[in-house]
Amino acid sequence: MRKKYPRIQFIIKSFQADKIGALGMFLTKLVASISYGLEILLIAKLLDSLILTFTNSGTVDIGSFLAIILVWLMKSVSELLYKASKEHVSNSLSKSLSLEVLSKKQRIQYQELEKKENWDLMERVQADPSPKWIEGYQNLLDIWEDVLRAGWIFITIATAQWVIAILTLLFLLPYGILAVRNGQEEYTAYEESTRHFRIADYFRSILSNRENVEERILFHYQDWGKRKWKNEYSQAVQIERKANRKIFGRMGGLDILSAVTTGSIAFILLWSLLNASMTSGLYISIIKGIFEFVDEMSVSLAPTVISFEKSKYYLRDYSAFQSLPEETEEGREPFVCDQIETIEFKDVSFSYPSGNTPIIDHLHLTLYGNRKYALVGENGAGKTTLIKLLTGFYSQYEGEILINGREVRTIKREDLRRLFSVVYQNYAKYETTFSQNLLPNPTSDEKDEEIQKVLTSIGLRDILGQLPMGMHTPLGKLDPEGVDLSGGQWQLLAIARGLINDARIYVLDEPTASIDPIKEAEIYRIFKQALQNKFAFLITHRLGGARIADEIIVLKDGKVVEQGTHEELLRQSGKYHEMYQEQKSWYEK
Amino acid sequence: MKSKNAIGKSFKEVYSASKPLFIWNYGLTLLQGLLNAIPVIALQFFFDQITRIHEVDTKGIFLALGIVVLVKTVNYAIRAITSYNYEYYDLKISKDMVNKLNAKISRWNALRFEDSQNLDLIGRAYDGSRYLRRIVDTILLIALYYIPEIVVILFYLYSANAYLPLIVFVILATVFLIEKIQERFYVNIEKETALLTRKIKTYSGYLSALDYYKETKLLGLQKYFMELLHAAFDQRKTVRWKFFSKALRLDGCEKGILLAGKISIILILFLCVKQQAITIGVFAALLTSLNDVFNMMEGFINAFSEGLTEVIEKVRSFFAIVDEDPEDAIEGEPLQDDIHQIELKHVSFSYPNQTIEAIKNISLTIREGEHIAVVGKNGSGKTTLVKLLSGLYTPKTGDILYNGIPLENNRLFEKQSAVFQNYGKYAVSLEENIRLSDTNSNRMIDPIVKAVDMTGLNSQTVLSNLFGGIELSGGQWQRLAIARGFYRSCQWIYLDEPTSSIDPIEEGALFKLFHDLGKNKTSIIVTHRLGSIRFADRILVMDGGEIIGDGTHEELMLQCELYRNIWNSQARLFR
Repeated sequence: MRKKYPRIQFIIKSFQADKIGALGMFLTKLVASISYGLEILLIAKLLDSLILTFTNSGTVDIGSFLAIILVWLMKSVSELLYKASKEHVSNSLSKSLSLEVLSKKQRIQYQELEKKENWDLMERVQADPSPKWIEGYQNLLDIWEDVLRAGWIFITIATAQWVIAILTLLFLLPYGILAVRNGQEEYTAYEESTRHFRIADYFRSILSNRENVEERILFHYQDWGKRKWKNEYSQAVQIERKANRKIFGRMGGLDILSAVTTGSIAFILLWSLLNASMTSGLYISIIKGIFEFVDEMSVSLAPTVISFEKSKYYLRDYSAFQSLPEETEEGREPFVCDQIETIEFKDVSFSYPSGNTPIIDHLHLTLYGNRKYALVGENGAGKTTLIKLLTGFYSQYEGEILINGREVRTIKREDLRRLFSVVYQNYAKYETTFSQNLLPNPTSDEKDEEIQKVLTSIGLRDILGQLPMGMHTPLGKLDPEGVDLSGGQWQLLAIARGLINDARIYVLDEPTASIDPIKEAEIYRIFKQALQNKFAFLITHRLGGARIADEIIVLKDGKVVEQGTHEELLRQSGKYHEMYQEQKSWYEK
Repeated sequence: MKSKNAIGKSFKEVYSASKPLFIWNYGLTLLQGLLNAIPVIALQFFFDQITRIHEVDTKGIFLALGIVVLVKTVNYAIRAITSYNYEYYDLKISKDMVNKLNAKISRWNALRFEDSQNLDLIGRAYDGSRYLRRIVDTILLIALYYIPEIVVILFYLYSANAYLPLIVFVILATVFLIEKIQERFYVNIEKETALLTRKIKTYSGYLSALDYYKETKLLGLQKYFMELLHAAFDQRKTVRWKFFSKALRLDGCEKGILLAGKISIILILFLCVKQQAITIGVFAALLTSLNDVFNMMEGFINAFSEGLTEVIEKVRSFFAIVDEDPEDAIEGEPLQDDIHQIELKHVSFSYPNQTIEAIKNISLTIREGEHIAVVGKNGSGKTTLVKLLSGLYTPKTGDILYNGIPLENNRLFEKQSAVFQNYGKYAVSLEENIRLSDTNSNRMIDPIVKAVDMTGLNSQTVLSNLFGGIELSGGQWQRLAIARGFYRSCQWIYLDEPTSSIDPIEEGALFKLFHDLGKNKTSIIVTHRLGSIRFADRILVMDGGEIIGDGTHEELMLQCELYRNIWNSQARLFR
């Protein structure tokens, strides 16, 4: 399903987010351009009356004098109101668009989310896209204002002589078209140099960042880095220089053309003045008006066009983002499960759309309730993917995955989610309260006893005792009264969360990867204790830890190569035996 | 005083970056300024003729108009040239300034990068390097470009009525003052909403960052954080609007004053016309140029109030680095001598802004040819020890003697190499990734590529997906880092254990690889996995910044309780 966002969306979304503000921006721009037209007419009237007083055949037109002042007042007020409206719309758009983007991200299929190109896309769309949208809306208003002002000049001249008015328009037309083309070209040229600047910036950061400091100093590669930086930077400059020569050349040409154009208009209008179809006052006012307009245009038209062009690319990205396939509830029914009896993988194959080698390759596996299984294997063997398939993050697989005989793709997502409690290697540190971290979905029938037991065994009781507001203490630095935990304490909290969570299937995904050995052994002990009589997966490549499982499953290249108890597998003298011996040999000195 | 300094220095830098460009560029700007003043005069003359169109010679009218158009044409042509030059000159100055910063920062010692204040300073300085030109430009643009036109207009105003220029100055001063006050409101908006913005960022991260996404979804926390976000956005809206409306009121005052000034000037001019003190042409020219004058004035004020003060602050950071002559800088080229022995004497060390000592009073001698493993828990000081040994850090107290002599000027030895914990994943070719450890060497990379078993990759392919190259797996990057470490000609080599998780089989293979390559060198491995100690003939056990065990495995099993505990806790898993 492809969604399209044409430029009109800038207007629609602004109005949706903030009717009054968006209307205010529109109206104040309208008032500003009307003031511009009125000013030309009023100054003409005032000057004419002044000229007449000098020839003693009239009185000073006080009315138009006051009207000019009124127009100025109008202009000032509309400028103020424009600023206020814009701020108001920005605020509203910031909220509505940020949330729109976020909720879309929640719905995107997980495998799409994992693609690098989609991450780049989301980066370009931005977490808070409101500046782009307000710029887009403002850009359209600017163009509209310019058109209106040109229209005013046309109408004002037409009141005196419409032939000359059309001639004026014809003069202005090619100028506008050329300026637009220039803006487009400028945009593409800068796109090209930006890439080189980005690479140059990368080398610059290598020369001055913290991450590379050790290698930089020890290997003494600064000269190499400077050379690389200079090379990219010079290339970017070269491209810009070449483009600039053309762009500024054309811009200069355009400006000269505009001077000649306005000059020619002034000359042609002189005839109207001489044959008295136009008054001196009007002539002066129009000439000044055109000069001002063209002067402003020569400065602002190019940026306006560039911004207009850019918005096209932005909207293309935004459309692509909104078109990313979403997860659906289609064909999913409620699922009640008090106890896991079986989990079966029947001839399951899965590969990423980009990669051609399958991650999971015709995998068969049957597991029975309330046992603990260890998934072992080398990096890339498919351990984590298997769990992602089971927890419903991927649904584009071949074969069947059945929980108690029910295919996971037919289970309502909410019900599927509730089955699992996962402790990840990169566990989340939510800077909310302690209790929110521990019990993300509090229900009334929480067994306090059980919670206390887990907290005690894991060593969180003491930490909790030191928190000023107990369970309700905000954690992290987000709250001014928050207490920050150490890395190890956060991890214990994540483990406790995983163990307390009332789920049917527990998954521990490499939970001890960055823990030192003494702590590691202790955590395995806690797992064993807390997960008694529960269905659990332990993903690890530390085979010593795998032994707490009732059964061990060895994966290799997306297939199950061995399955059985620790003793059984050792006897088989297969892959597990080999890996185990390798690791064991470290401790046999 | 300091800001004057920054301005003066910026002028010096911009001028010396390219004298011809400076003179050519600003010479043209002055010419433009002078030419800009001419249309004002010509227009006045032209308008004067128009008001008396039926009394005067049409030739004069055509001439006046011709001059206006000609001057404008010339002016636009010059503008095209200056704009083109401006861009080029700007890039050139930025390049020179970044070069200066690079040169300075490359002499900084490693410890400086541990201080977050220094990292902030670096960020601001690089940012500031782009603004030196801006300062010079703002000042010269006002002086050269605007002043001539303003002088002409002020002269006209003065000739109409002596008080008019005064009114202009009074308005200018008042508006400037208001801007100054207003600035505070905008700073306040940022300050008051900083926390809310951080909250929004954090909650959004929980919902969408890749390392949080799965967990937040499985825990069913999306709704909860969406609600928090709703509240935070609304709160931010309210706070922003509160301060903004205050600032807007001042904006209103400013606009009112400008308007009142404009009206009073017009009124006086109007009276002048009636008294025939000025011609209608002058009146018309001034009436229509008033907008220009006020626009220019606003530009003035903006340039001075927000633009310049902000920019000067940034440029000051630039000069803070460029002008500094730090005592702790690395001086001179690395030493070429062979290292036979490194000796630590009562060495203590702590990181900047931290009271806890990472290394406590360590005395230790390492001799050429030893193969050492340093083991201990996370945070026991293992990595810091390596950085002290390799000379990256200098001790707070105590001495490090190389061949019995202390190092001077923070110099390093050429003949050391290392595979650090956070080795670089450089977005350059495989060959460059290896060669950058010894950029002056011409040795072939083939043997080392073969040794780490990476021959499958084309050595010229750009790596890392940062700029669209090939991304390697964690294990491959680690192998590459080892190749890089060993490509450098060295006698001493350090291996700090990788942080990212690689599986034990790979890990064992890497330790073995490191051992094989480092057989004929002095090697020091840091790890909390004990798989490495098979290859060591001496083991150091660290705890809380101290060395609490030093010996062979057998000796330590007898003497060192911590070592025994670590060993047993892992070995037990395999019994």
